[in-house]
Amino acid sequence: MRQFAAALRVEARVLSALMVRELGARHGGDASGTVWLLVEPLLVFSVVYLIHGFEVFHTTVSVPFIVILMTGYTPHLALRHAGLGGIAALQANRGLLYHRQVHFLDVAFARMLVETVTVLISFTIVYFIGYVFKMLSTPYSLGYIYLGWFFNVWFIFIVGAFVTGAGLVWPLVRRIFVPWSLFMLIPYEAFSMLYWWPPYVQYYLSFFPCTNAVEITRYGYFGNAVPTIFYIGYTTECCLVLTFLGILTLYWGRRHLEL
Amino acid sequence: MIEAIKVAKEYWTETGRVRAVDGISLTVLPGQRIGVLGDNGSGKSTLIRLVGGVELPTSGKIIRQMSVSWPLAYRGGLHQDLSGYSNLRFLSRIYDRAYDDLCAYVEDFTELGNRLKDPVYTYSAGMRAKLSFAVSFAIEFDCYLIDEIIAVGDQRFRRKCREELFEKRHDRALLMVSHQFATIEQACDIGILIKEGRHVDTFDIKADHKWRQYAKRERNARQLQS
Repeated sequence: MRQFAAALRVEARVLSALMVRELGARHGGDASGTVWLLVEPLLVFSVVYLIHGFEVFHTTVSVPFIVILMTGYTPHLALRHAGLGGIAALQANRGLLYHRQVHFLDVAFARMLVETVTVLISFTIVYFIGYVFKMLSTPYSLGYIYLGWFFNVWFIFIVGAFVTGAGLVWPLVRRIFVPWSLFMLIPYEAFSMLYWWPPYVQYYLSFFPCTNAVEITRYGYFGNAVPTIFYIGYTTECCLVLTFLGILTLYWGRRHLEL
Repeated sequence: MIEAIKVAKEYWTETGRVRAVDGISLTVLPGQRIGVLGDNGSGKSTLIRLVGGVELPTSGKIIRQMSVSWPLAYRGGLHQDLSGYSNLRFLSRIYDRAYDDLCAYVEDFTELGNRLKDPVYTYSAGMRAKLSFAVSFAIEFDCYLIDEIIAVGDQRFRRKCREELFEKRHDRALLMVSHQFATIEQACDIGILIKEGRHVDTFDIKADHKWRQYAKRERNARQLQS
């Protein structure tokens, strides 16, 4: 037990050191880099909101577009940032893997964690701004919003594990990731609600854990005022299986990482 | 004690499977100093990397019951894009040492001065070696793994390494790869000869007639080649 606690302390030290390193070294190692990390998703978000926000005036939609964007586009943004993060971090921090306590999983997850958390923080800032300007109201249930985000982050880590593991074996995976992530705008429901689609599309889309996660956050915001479709049990089971496969892929990729 | 039990390491290359280390068993007792000998590509470095945990063995097992340094080699151990000081900060965090102590020791040992503020990729091989050694001495390990790296340093650095490693830390274990017989003779008690990934011979360096014969033969062969 004491050994386990000691190992846990080492793990916490390594992970925090790696995260501090990631934060510091991202954009030249000064404070502006850390600020940029937060501002960048915010800017992307504002541009997308401006473009699509105007479109909404030409259609009659009862759902505020900013909510669709915040619940669907933000996790997609996190996926895009974090998906290639693991592999990039492993290649950049190769020299640090010589130290035994720096496990390759630490390096991959520290980067993905930093990327995901910064997007989450910008999400909170956007929410705050929207709330102040009365574009957003108080959510129906904070618990469901947290649950949805929990699944979002979990799914991002799963994708990150697959991309990192397979990307180390086949460099092509890294290139395919970008167009693939654009295709993922559809299951992420970045610009739409799931109930807008025809039923058979809804059926297929609801197999994606990310669609379920997004719908859970939407339920957390709207409650029963707007139809949402999700299956918490299915999503959990699916994520568990995928996590197992993802970790296998990671270990498979580790063998191909040349130090 | 470090125990390697029938470790093997295979790599996949363009030409197929290469067995770099082929079933080597090895025990390093506390304070024991072992020199690893062999031609280029015989698997010496891979063995050291396996013992250091940088590579995972394809088969076999490595048990470490004392603290083992990372393999001090030409590359690895430091982040190329970070400055010397940033590297120190990171290492002080992961090895749980006080940053100020680490800095003071490294500044004194390496004499790199302001260059410690520059990214490591701008350093020469010798400067990198100095930094790696200084950090590993400041952290203190029971066993040091050294892969040929002392040879890149200047006279002053080699003298300091001798003092720190062979004199001040003479009670520590050592696993060392070197092509220089003088270094091996000075630092090690035992020599193991590796050929094509296999452990083929063991020498008692301090007393063995067999070692002298081997060293003489090798030196003559090298002279002939040059």
